[in-house]
Amino acid sequence: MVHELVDETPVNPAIRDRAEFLLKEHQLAVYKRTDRMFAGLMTFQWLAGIVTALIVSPKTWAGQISDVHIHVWAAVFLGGIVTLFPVMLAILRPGQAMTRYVIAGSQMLMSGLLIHLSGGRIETHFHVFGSLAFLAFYRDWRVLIPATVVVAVDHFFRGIYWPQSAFGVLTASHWRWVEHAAWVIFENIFLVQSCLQGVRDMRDNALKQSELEALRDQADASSRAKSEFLANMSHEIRTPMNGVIGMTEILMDTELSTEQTEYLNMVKGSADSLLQVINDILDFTKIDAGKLDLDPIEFKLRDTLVDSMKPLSVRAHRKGLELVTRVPTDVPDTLIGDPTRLRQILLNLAGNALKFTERGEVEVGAELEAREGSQLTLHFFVRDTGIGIPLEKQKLIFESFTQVDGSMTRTYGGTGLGLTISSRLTEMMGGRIWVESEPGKGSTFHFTVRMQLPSESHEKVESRLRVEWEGLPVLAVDDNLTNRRILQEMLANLGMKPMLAENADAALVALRKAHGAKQQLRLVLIDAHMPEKDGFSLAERIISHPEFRSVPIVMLTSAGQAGDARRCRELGIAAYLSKPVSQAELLEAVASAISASQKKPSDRTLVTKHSLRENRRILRILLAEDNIVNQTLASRLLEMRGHDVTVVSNGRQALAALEKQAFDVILMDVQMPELDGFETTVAIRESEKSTRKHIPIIALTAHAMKGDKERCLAVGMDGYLSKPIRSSDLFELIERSPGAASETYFSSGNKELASNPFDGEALLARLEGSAELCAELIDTFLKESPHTLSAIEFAVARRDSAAIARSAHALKGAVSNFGANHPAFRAAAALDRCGKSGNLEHVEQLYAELTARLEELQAEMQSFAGKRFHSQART
Amino acid sequence: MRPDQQIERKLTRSSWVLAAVGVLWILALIVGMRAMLNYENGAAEAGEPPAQWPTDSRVQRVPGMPTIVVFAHPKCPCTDATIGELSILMTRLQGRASAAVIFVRPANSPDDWEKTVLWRSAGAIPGAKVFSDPGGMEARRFGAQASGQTILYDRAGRMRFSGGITASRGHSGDNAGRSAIVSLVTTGAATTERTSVFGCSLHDPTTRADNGEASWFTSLWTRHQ
Repeated sequence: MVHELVDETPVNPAIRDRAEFLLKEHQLAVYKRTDRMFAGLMTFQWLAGIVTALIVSPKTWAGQISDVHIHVWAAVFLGGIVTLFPVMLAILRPGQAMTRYVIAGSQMLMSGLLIHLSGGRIETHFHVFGSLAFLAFYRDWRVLIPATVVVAVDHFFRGIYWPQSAFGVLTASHWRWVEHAAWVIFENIFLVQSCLQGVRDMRDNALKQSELEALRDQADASSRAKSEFLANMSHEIRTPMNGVIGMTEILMDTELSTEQTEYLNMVKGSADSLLQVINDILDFTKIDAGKLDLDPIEFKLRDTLVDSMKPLSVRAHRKGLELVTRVPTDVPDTLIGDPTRLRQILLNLAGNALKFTERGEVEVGAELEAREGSQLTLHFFVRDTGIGIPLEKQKLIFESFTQVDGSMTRTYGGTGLGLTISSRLTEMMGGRIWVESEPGKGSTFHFTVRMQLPSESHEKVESRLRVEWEGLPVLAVDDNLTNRRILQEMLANLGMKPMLAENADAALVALRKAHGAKQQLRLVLIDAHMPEKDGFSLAERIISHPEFRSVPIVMLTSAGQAGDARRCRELGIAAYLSKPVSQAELLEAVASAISASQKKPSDRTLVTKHSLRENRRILRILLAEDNIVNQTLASRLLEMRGHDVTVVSNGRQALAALEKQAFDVILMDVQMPELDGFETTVAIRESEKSTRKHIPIIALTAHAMKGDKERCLAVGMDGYLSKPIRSSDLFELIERSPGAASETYFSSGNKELASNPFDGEALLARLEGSAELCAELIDTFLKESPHTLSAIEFAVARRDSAAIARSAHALKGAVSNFGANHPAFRAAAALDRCGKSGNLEHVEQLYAELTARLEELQAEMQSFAGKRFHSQART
Repeated sequence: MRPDQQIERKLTRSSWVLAAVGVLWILALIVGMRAMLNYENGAAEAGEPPAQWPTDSRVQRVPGMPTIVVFAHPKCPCTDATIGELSILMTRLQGRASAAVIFVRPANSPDDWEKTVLWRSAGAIPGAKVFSDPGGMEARRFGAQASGQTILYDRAGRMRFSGGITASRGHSGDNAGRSAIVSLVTTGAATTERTSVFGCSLHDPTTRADNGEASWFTSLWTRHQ
């Protein structure tokens, strides 16, 4: 218990001790500061004394003959002697008691010297009293003692040897002594009181600071406890949930009756919903605890908007709703902000919109609301034609756990947290959220966010293509007005001259009209799903006309159906894209379609999103990873993607490889023997100073702790991927603007998602469904892990903690690819920690635990591989 | 030796060095201060004024009133204190005495050589007149050797006080000379009628009969009473 400071009042001993320490610190700071002040003052006084001597008594005379007055030499040399020793102490021993005592005495001596140099002027005597007052700055009454002693000794000896110089008479009455002493004592009394009060004030402040520190530590501990709770809850809740979902999916792959399949679908649906609810609650708790940070990075707005809607497109199509995105051309595309949180808000709002809309459309858009230099305020909206929200409920819906109608939870589901989370996230991003709605007509959710333009504009308009396409007439056909507007904006932004048609007949009229006006249309974009005559029918009609046969057609569909691609090929359609389509995808598809139209029909191939992806440039990748399993995983994934991968096992080999050839990007394991990832990155960045190049370096780390990202940034890395590696995250990181030095990009990988204990299907999914790679990975692990375990056994027998840590860490890294929360991973991690700490008291138990868990994992993997691949994997 | 022991040894050594420097510093201060005080309190050569007002003096005294005669070197820095003391003196005496401040102008010195700040300060003292003494003739008549030499002649022209009216060179403040003159003018008696003079020599060294004036350097190490 802490009380107001009164000396008799008991105070927590720890706080009092800390207060005493702080007091000593403050006092030392005051002493040092005052020492420095006096050092400056005394130097100034020395110079002032020399100037005074030169003005007042520059020469001594005998008739016409003159000589330099002794006062000048006294000012220079005696003044220097008085000044230099205390100044030297102030520089060499600041804050020490001897320093300030010497300064105090010297200051009084300087007063005496100045009095002499000024010819004994009364005014110069004030320097004595002023100096005593300055000495009080130390807030140490003891410094007044040497000052007073110097004055007393001076007067004593002067009284003996030069009495007239003290009082002007040969013998002074005792009253003169008393009078002189009394003035000094008078001032000293006040100065001593001032010093003592000063120390009391400092002690009070120190105590208050100590109390505040104690409270701050308590708050920090509470905050840490909250963070740990959130992390544990996140892990403890998601682990079994993923287990439920994963096992359900595995079960669904087995032979089941229709009834069983139906029941399992319900189980999976419920589990997915529950996971979503849990995610919402955890997010809300994080925001409430202030534990959610924004992660501003450079990103593309239009791509992000489109990507956000993709998970909802199937749901929209099932309900027969149009899901469209729209961003006017005046809105910059490359921005600095948190795309993850933006996506979260858009998904929530658009998901709600789809949920509460039975017919019509959902439109998601962005506008530029304000711009100040590089600071932008963007206005996003999600408009639906759904059931609407009554006026009295419109404010309440943003409050926690509040739905428009409690019965909504039974009809529509949801926790009531989504809008609250969106609202908080919007506020974190410097904006606000609101809704306009009319029951029965629909709602529009608006929110604003603040973002920044990057320092160098990456707004690359494909200038070469714009020049070629400037004013090119194209036709866009879609029955939905909003979609037509969006296509019009996108095509105009590409420099083309779009014409619109709302159905097949209007499209044919437009084509004929253009042909008649000798305005050959260069491209036709058709929505596949239109009433009366669908897009494919229109395409057939267009191709059947000789005058329009050569016009390339791009088919846009809301949801791909089996056989669509074949139909496109049969009809000779140039490109086939599924909505929502981003500007970048449209650009690529149009460019490919137009260039394909100039080839012979036999040489043309259907342009799809997959083919566009495949046409991306091949990268030369250097993979620095010491673990064989991880090497195999990463290199094979990248090679499957078409990239050229060079593998090395440590930092030294990485540096040697860089000297031999150039690479586009480096994947760097942070923990490697000989030279680890951090040291290697530092060496690479150092060598780049002379070449001014910058090769992107992405860290691969088994750690996923707060601070790892900062450490990666600090050494010069551009991104990190935490294990287990997901192929989608790996490809996204590697292929996203690999040449741009100013971009930083991070992926948390599977940081928050816990794998279920060996989930073979999840592993297969991460490996892009490649059974061959999956089998090879499992086989490699089953061959390598026993050797690593033997190394650990040997290290345990020798009680070599470093070797234990090394091998356990390697095994942990390998196991992480198959289940970051598998008991084998935790056992390896525990042994790794044990080795690093050097405390081998329980190492045998930990090793036994690891052996048991690893055997379980190996058995699970063999069982999966045997069932799935009929592999010959053996231990 | 452990590192902490090495550091402790270094600290002890440096403390000894600092202590030695400190002792030297104190000694240097003592020597310096003593030298300066010795100089400042070292009296100049005392003058031997005539017991009666010289009749051949160009300076006329006011009949029936004591006259204070002060001889000054126009450029002596210490004499500023003397002029200041004279001003205090004349204020205390309130017209009961007159003063003549005679500025010695060495032979062959330019005209107006003596018209310095001191000349103007002296001239501003109520009841005091300033005179120029080309060649130092008056100074010789009155037996003055050093700047600041002050002589009091009573109503009858008898010399009652000779000496300086500062406590030490260039030092303002209470002093025996000022007190003696005030006492003599107001009461006719004083505890002392002679004091030391602190000021520059009025005459060039080659023209002085008695070249006993020590240089200021020598005077650093001796005390003049």
